[in-house]
Amino acid sequence: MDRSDDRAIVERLLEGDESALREVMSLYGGLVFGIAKRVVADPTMAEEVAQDAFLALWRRPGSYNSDRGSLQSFLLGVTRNKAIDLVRHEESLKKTKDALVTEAEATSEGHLENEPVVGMEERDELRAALSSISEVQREAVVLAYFGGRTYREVAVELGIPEGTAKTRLRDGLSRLREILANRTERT
Amino acid sequence: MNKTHDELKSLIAPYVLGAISPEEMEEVRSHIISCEECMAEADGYSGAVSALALSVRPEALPDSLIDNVMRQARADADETPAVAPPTSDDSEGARVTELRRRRPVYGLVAAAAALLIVAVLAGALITTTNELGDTRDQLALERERVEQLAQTEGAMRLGAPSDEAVGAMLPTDEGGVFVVHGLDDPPTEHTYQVWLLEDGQPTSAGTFDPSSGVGAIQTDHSLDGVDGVAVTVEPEGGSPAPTGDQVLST
Repeated sequence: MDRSDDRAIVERLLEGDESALREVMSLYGGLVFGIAKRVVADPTMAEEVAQDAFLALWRRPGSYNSDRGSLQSFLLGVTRNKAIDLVRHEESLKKTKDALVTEAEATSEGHLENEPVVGMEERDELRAALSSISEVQREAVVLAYFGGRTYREVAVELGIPEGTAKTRLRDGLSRLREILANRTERT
Repeated sequence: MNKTHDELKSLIAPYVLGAISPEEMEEVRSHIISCEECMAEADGYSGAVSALALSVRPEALPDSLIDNVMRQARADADETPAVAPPTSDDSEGARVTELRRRRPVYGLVAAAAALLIVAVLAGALITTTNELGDTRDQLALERERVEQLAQTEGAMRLGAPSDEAVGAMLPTDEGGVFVVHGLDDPPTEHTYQVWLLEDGQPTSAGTFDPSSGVGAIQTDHSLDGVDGVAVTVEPEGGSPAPTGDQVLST
């Protein structure tokens, strides 16, 4: 899928073409549901988050701008933010630090049936990149990104000063950026 | 009360991860608009943040979820069309063609900076949590930043009759970037749509929904030959031609 494919799907959504919505769910549904389940502790509520994300695209396809990135990244961003909003309002849906870190560090999670090989390979590389940043950086980044914690909450939960929490987030993202840049240069 | 540059810079990583309070989100966003160094830092992290999302293992969608989405989508379609047709006596967007026009002189514009503004604002618009406690000072500062952008060479300034909102369309190498400050949320089931006018003919540059009054879009449509810009209220998803009230214009 390139950007012109993304634009073509969005054009169909703008026309109210229901088959385009089905196609979006078929193409990106696995990752959308995957990220919702990664953030939200209750699988039923994670389903609702994924459902809301698809309906948000159906109702406002014009909010996607292909200049800003792929439709996949857009949908994942929308889903993650809906999930984070939910867990911030409902404490019982928040995952524990241990659960978040364990899921992020799981080395072999298997693959989805019928998942495209390209998607699997890319994901494995990204997981490898994430696992190669330092443990303390990964812990902070995972708590913030998948756990919905603010940097202040990260500091409290890890028992570190706020400044250290900010530094770990910055250094973690910087390191991840470096690893991804090297990977792009190689390919 | 006001944070220093270094303090704000230390919040860039938490900001792009959405790991920041709504109040700080606004402070950082306002700072980024005027600080190229911080803007570049925020933009530099965008790939890493996308990678986090893509590292997640996909989960098979339950059939019941797909059925629920399709049922709800059909119910929506029965209530309102996805795109409102333009009215027959307004086919060329007469409302918009009545705009005052001016032809900008394009020169050297910080195109990269303008693109970064959109990248950063877009991120902020998606991640902000809507419960913002802006002070009047912060709002005034944001407005001033948009005014400054509108004064850069080649930019077009958009104003509103009430003077509460201000927008700027900036030319870039690949099209243009639009930012606005001071817009209320659009009416229910409506959105804002930006139109580029060439010889009075409107072309859509995209739709946006403001967050805390701030909105931004990027267009790959060249601004060469564009002699005016307008923003109208349109049904959700946008319209093929302007149909709603005009809220901003050059």
